[in-house]
Amino acid sequence: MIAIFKERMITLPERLEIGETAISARNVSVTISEKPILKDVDFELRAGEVAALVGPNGAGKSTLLSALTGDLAFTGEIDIAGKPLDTWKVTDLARVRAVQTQQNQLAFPFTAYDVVEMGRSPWQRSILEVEDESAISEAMEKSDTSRFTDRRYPSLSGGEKSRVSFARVLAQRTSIILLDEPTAALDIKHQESVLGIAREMADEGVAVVVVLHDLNLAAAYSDTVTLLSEGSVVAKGTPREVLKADIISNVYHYPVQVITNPETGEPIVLPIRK
Amino acid sequence: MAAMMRGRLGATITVLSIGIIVVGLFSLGLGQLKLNPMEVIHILLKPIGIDLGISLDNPYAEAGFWSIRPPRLLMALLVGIALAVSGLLMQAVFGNPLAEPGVVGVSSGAALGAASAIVLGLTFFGEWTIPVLAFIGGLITTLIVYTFSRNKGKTEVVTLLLAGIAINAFAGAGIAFLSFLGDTQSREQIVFWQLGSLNGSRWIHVAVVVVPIVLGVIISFFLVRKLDLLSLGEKSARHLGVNVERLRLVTIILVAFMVAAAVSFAGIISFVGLVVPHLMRMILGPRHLPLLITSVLGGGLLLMLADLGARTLINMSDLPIGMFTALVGGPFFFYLLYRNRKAAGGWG
Repeated sequence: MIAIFKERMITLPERLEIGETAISARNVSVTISEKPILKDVDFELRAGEVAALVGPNGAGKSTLLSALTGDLAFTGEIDIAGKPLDTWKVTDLARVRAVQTQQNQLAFPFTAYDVVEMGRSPWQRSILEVEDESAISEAMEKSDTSRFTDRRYPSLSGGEKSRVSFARVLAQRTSIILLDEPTAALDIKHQESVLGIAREMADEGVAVVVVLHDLNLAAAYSDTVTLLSEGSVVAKGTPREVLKADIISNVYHYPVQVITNPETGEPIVLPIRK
Repeated sequence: MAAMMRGRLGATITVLSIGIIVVGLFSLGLGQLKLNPMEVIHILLKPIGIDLGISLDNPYAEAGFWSIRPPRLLMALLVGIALAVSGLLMQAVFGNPLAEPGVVGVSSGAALGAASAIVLGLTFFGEWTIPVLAFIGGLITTLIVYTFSRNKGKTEVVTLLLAGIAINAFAGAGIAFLSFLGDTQSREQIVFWQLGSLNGSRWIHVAVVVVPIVLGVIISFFLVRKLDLLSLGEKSARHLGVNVERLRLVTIILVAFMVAAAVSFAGIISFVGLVVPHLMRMILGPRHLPLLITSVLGGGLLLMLADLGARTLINMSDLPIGMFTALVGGPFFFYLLYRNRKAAGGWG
């Protein structure tokens, strides 16, 4: 109960400046039941950037993300906003970074609005509490979920649930956002819109990490691409540096060709079909 | 939606509060010596210096009244509160609407602790011996059920219920062995307990259980917001700043605490923790603050009603109250299982 009274005087975290290091991971390894899932991974993300994590199934993308959120035990070093991850208190961390996981389960039938509102809970009893309503309505509008406001979350479709979870992350208004396959269940329009919003937020100074399967979405919206395979980083750099036919064909064990979008100059990865 | 829910909450609180007052007054008046509600109010107000000037037919009514009926009524209220709130907390922390102290075996664990105090004649904590042993038994069983029924941050219905069966079987065996060991008197006491009854509640019992139960409810109010977030799953709750491990531990201890207090003097009364929070959830939705307020009132009211039935339905006899709650709770449990299965598309 003492902790509850202490929280009345929350010191707000400083927003990161554009270009400031948001996440820095060095030599990160994760072993689950004696099986190495992640081996000596380095990862760097600055405020204002979108970093895509890509790779085949089982490459360790989600594991890396879980390590970055502090959900998994790891060896190596991870700094969040300049402070080692294990020195952060969970309550403080929630005001710095927001996470959308792959699971969109909910034990009890809250409404979509309630779920988005949960994203505001880290700011309870802080001066930012006054932003609650505007943050919620803005998040729901952006993610195109306003019309579900009063719907019970379990009655929504997979894609709708995923957008409501995305809205919850937006409502949290943190400097760092981690998204684990936010587009997996979405139609084209909403895939583009979710990553478009992520891009916009990065342009305003937020640091975004996003696990993606669709390489072309990664090419279109991210600043850096980290390609993982069997727990190690195979390539990293700008989309153009990483998304090359030989690298991709090799890692995915499937022949692809990469062409250039004549309008934007972005690489487009096409599987070669017989 | 929010305004509508607030309206519903207000209406529910009003109805339940009025229910508690009305049932309370009637209940205090019913029994071998019948009093009408005005006479009851008269007796209740007299000690604080308000005299309504009603003359009672029976000159002994007052003395007998004070030592028997109010403690029993308060006991019903407190035990009902403890069971309903424990049910609500367990459901939140297990993330499963079917968790309930009676069903998953916490009550029988507490009863095993209490029965050993009776049979072995343990008195090292005076009046508190039975509650303390009940608390230990309840805590151990809650921890066991929790550890065994969780898988990857989720509690599956089947595992939860199977863990409950195992615990109930084990505690049942322990209680059977203790009744075998005990003399006739303690044997009777144990049987009476397994069925649950508020017969013989005295002021001293009320004094013993009121502290843990009121404390438990007050602490629960500080947890409601976090319990809401826990619905998102443990990971997401942690991402939103909830110290999940601590929340879990505090909640489990609270449950053991309150169930032990309830079981110590009232025995095993099942299904209150299942029925009350569920009905409130149907009316008010899943937010834990309104659920906690109304589960306190609803649990108290339900047990007051059940005890009234136990005392008065059959003339001159005191029926076991656990029988009543199970009579309503059993079919209700079936219905919940059925719905749960339909929603999940299987027994998983």
